[in-house]
Amino acid sequence: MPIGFGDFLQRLRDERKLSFRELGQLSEVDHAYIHRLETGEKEAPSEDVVNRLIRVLKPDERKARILRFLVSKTVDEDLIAEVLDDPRVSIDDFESAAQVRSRGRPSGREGWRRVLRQIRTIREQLERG
Amino acid sequence: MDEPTVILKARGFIRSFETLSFPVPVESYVEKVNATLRYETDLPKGEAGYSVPIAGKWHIVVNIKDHPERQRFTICHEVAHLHLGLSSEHAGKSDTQSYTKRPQKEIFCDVFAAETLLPSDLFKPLVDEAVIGFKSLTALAGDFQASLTATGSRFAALNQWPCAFVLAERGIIRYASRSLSLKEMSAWIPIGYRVPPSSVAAKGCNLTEEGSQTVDPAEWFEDWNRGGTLLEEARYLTEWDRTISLLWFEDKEFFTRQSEGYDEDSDPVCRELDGDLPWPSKKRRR
Repeated sequence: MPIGFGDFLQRLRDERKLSFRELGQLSEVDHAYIHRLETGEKEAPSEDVVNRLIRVLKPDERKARILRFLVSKTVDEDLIAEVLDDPRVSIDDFESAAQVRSRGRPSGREGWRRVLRQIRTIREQLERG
Repeated sequence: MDEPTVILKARGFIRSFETLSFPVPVESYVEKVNATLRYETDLPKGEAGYSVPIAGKWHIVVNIKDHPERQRFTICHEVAHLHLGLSSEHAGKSDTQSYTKRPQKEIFCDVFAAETLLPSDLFKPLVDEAVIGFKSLTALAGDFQASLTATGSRFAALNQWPCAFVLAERGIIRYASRSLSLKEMSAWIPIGYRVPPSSVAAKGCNLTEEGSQTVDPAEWFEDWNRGGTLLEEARYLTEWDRTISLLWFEDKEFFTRQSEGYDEDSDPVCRELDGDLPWPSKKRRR
């Protein structure tokens, strides 16, 4: 199932146990707009809005990068789960995996684990020249 | 984007190569979209390949365990993703092996792949000269290093003869490609239904590599009441549990006469004079 910006924003807000109104007040972003972002009614918030939300939600750097990435793309929930559960997966590799165009796409977490492994191998080969 | 646009873009892509001969150089296609090609041993069956951006460059990864013909189609499919700028749709179950519920973007990439793997300018002249049947299909597939399925689909679509290529999975019709003349006669093959019980394809895994057989066109084509002698030749693809069939009418002129309003029944002895000699026969051999 694809995860978008709104889904991930909701996840971060839940982790902070903040209501729409509280997040809105603290970030100085209209709470109704935040609600619409989470429901997907509104998409692609500005960089300024994203920065203000991140300042209040205080996600770690990985989650902050994932949230920023999701501004323009949706990502399979299994890939996000894999990246969040395994801190060895770099966000660069996550971003590559999220843009995979496949004939027979990876399915399930094992499928994404394999893709991430392959991406890491290719990246290492490229770095070695 | 729609299918005709994809076809035009594919033809434009092919024209960007000064000379092209078959089998087409798919590696050059990869270079053209500024990507690199990698063969992967770790991909499971069913995952044909993918393309991925790493460090600012796209890399096309192909399952080395697939047949070489399938690998070539996969490369063209991935080139399509990059050339057309189409992302993959990751919602729902994996469906690369199945013809059901294929996302529109993936279908577009398949169309592009078929058009670039079997380019019309190279393929159609050979189709025009070929005797319809799996012998020709197999030879053409070999020449173009393409699968029988991809070749069959293009063979029917580009054929002047009234013919069709049908793919069935576990006995259910999943895909049909028809020649223009067959389309013009409204010979519609219903998708999602079981293959006709008296068809050659119905033999499924019991199929042997035999020649063509006469089958009832009314069983293959929806609401068919035009008659005609329909021939069918089929093959069973063990690996995928699929049957592929070639269907064609024995008499090409049968359609011409019908569409011109000539009614043979009203004058069974003397055909209306039109300047065309009735010999040599324009019947295709079985």
